[in-house]
Order: sequence, then structure tokens, then C-alpha cells
Amino acid sequence: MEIIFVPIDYKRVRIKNFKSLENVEIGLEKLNVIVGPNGSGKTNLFEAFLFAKSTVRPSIYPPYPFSYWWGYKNMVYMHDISRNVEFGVSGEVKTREGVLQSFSYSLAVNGAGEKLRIIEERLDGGSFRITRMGSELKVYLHKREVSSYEILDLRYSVFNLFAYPAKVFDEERGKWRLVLQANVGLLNGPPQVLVELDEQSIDALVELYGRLFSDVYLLKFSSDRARTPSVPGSIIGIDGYGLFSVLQEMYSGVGPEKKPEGFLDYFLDRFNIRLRFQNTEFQTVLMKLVEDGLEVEPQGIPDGYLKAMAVLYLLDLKPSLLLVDELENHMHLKLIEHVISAFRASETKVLATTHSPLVIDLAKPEELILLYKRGRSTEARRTENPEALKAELAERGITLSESWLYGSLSDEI
Amino acid sequence: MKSIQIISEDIYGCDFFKEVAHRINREVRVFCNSAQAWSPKRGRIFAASNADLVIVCIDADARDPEEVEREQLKIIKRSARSEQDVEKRLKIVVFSYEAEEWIIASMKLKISGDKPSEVLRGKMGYEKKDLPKYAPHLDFNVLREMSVRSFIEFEKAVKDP
Repeated sequence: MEIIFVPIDYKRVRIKNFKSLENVEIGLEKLNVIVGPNGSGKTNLFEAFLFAKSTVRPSIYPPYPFSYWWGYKNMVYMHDISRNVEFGVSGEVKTREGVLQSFSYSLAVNGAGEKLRIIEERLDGGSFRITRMGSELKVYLHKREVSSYEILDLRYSVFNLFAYPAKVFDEERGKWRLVLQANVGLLNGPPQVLVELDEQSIDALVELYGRLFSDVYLLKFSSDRARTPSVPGSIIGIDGYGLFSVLQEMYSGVGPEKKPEGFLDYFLDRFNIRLRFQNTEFQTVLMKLVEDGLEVEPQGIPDGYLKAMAVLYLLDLKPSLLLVDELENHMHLKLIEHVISAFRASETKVLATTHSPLVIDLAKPEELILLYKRGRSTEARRTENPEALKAELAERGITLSESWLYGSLSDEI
Repeated sequence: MKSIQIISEDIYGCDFFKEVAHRINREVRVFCNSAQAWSPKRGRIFAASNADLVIVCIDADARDPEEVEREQLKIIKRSARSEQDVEKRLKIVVFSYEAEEWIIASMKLKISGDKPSEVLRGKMGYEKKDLPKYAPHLDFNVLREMSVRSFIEFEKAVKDP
């Protein structure tokens, strides 16, 4: 049996000055259905996670997380570059032994002059804490300062300023130690931070340090991009590019072994679909689909099938958090029911934006995050009394989507 | 050929019930949609469906099954075409806990008040999406012998929709 291990439980998120999100704080449930009219900030909420991930875990070096928005000015609230964009998250991290530890992480960034500067950052894992303010970084244990550094390059987060942490056992003292190796080109100070902690706290910090935001996956699906033949070995991009390559790795015996009985396998079996792969003369991979014995060329593969495959592939990777923008796009009710059932059956927390009644009616009131625009700012709220709302809707024969479109959830805070 | 519309909480329930229904009666067409247990969408599906029989599957999760059935009936009636239509085409199947109790009973496992899915999870690493895999292996004779009420009602409804 495959062991399910989802180490980080993201419980709350706070976003400031990101596009229309001037100041938004939300708690995260197992399934979070983000609803709101066009322009209310649904995609901005999705993209705020993209911004945080690409700042903390950059895919290019030196980091420049503003390129997706064509510059800092376009992503900061009201185009006011004097403001810092802030993102904070808190929750619990679980070790492989199942021990839980609370954590919080936050950062404030400014990009005036199109130059990335991390102004403030704070990683809090129980008795261990790293804080930075400007170019000064300090490490605390039990609220006592144990190390301080000068940051030489403000573009890098603490996850880059220190190498991946190590857990070592001090034979002489009979105690566990956490070792953080300073990146000498980025930090001026002691070569390493060395602190004594109990073993569980070290394990939790190692998980947190290794996984925070790395285990957050995002999908803003484009069927054209997903359908594009991709280079073998590609990973799947935010728009779905690389889907053919990752599926070829999974189903053609190239790369990692096929995952047994995952959500994607279930989907393929249920819709009686088989996948065939072909390497092109341009060294790319294209995928064909065999449905009821009939081979379908890439251009003929239904968009909804590609979308469902991308979502379920990501779910099979067991991220701690999966965000899907405009979940309903391309998918018929049958596929939406399938994907939402998979979300509920998985260990992954999911955030999905939508304005589709089909999606909303598969949700519970407590799973909705309602977004509204007040002036130029997005406001977010949960339903206040979900159980009472359920009873009221059942009594009156009104669906959740009808309540959102025309009723008590429509536009009131 | 007669048709049956099933309403379940998720697609894993749908696939499970469809397979069980086909094992009971191969001469019916079975459709299924998922809808939240509390949702008036269940009433909408009942009203819109032209199936000869609509089976609403609902977990009582250890609540009073009769109360759960009354709640479902109220939701369905709210959107139904007529009272007569409800009497003629609707069957509500209430599980004491959840559908996994058929597996537990079929395998003659003891649950002693635990949630059936949790028992299966502990014994064989069961996950929700595994539910349909058990449908071909259910021992109907054991379920009948053990008088599993939800199964007996489901079987009776499917045999003569």
C-alpha cells in the first residue's frame, strides 16, 4: 500500500496589496470553492499564490517573480509601487512520524524600479524563528538570538539564503541539532547556524524548509498549451504545457514507475480511455487517445478530457495544496462531478475558482469563499452560519448557486 | 428496457451502486449523478429525470434512519412534479452509516460502532475511491442472510423498477 503523506496543512492565508487584494485574510478548508462575479478578484487570489511560490521557490535565478504580470507596477494594488506586496501563511507541519507543529511564514516584497527586494520575512516554527528586516537577518531559539547576518542580495528568500537543513546527532551531548548552512555569496556572517532542539521539532522544520510552497501546485489550464507537443522530460506548467510528456513518463515506462490506481487511472478506466504516445521528428512527444477502440489525434481530444487529466495528474502527485483557476472551463457536469469527487477523496487541500452554478451546487456552504468588489478592493468572506443556510435552502427548495446568484449570498457583506 | 436514476454523494458511490444494480438486474439502464445530501439539487434531479425509478442513496452516519429519510423526502417533494410522482418513482435507501456497511457485512467483519470506511481503512488501507472495486465481490446471499436493510430495499427496488 502506498503511504499517503501530505506534510503541510495550510490553514490561513493573508494577502496585502496584491492586485485588487488590498487586505484579505481567509481560512482554508479541505475544499475551497472561490466564487465571485467577473472582476471580483478570484484569479487574483489564485495568482497571489503564484507570486508567493515564485518568490520563495524561484524557477529562474536570479529571482524575478514579476515577469508573469509584466512588471511590479501591474501586480501591486492600485499600481502604487510605494506599497509592499505581502503574503503570509500559517498552519501545521506534520513529520513522517505524524507529529504536528504549528508554523507561520510571511514576506513583504517591493519591486519599485522593477528590482526585487524582500523587505521583511519571518519564518516561525515553534521555538525556532528566522526574521529579516531590510538587510538584517536574525535567528532565534526560544526567543533568544543565536545568530545574525547581513543579507548581501535582497532578492533571495530565507529558503535560498540557507542551504537545505540537516539533522545531526551530537554523540557527546546526546542531543539532536539542526544545522543550517549559510550561502556565503548571499549572507555575511557565521558559516552555519547550529541549534539544539528536540528531534520532532527538527523533523518538522526540515519538512517545512524543504516543502513550503514547493508542495503548492497551480493550474490555469489552456487546452491549446496542453495539446502542444512537449519536450520529453518536461514538467507540467501552470497552463498545462508538458501534459503529454508527464503522461508519457507515467504510462510508457519511461521515468518513474506508473502510479498504481491513482485518480488519473481511475478516470481513464471509467471513461474507457487508453493513451498512446508518439515521438515526433522534432524531438517532442504527442499524445493520442483511444476511446472505445477508436484512435483520436491530438487535435480531436476533447478539451475537457485534457483538463481532467491535468487536474488528476497533479492530484496524484499529492501536493499539500492544489489551486485550479476556473475549474469548470471545458468540462461537462459529468467531468466536474468526477473531479470534485476526487478532490474530496484525496488528502490534498484544494482551492478552485469558479462562477459556475454546476460547481457551486456540488459544494457545501462552508466550502464557499465569497468574493466581492468594494470600490477597487476585493473583500472575501465565508458563509456565516452554514448549517442554518443548509436548512433554509432545503426548506425553501433553493440551490446554493441560486442563493449566490439571486439570494442571500448574492452581494451582501 | 426500464431505467433507473441513482443519486449518490459522489462518483465513487455512483460507480458502486451502478455495478451492484447491474448485478441484480441486467435488464435495466442505470444512470447516476452526485449531489450533496442536504442539497435541493437532489429534488431538481428527481423532477428532471424521466427514469422509471429514482433511487436516492443517503448516509445516516449513525443518525436515526427514519429522520434522515423524512429529511430527504422533504427535499425531493419540494421540487417534485406531483405527490403521485414521488409515490410512484421514488425510493430512498438509507444507510445506517454509509455504503461501506455492505462490504463490512459481506466480509462478515465486526465494526462495533466504528464507521465502516474507517474499519476498512484500518484493515486494508481502504480509500474512498476503492469503493467501486468491491461491488463485483459483494456476497448478496450474506447480505440477505444478515438482513442488511439498506441492501434488501435496494435489491427489491432494482429488481422491479
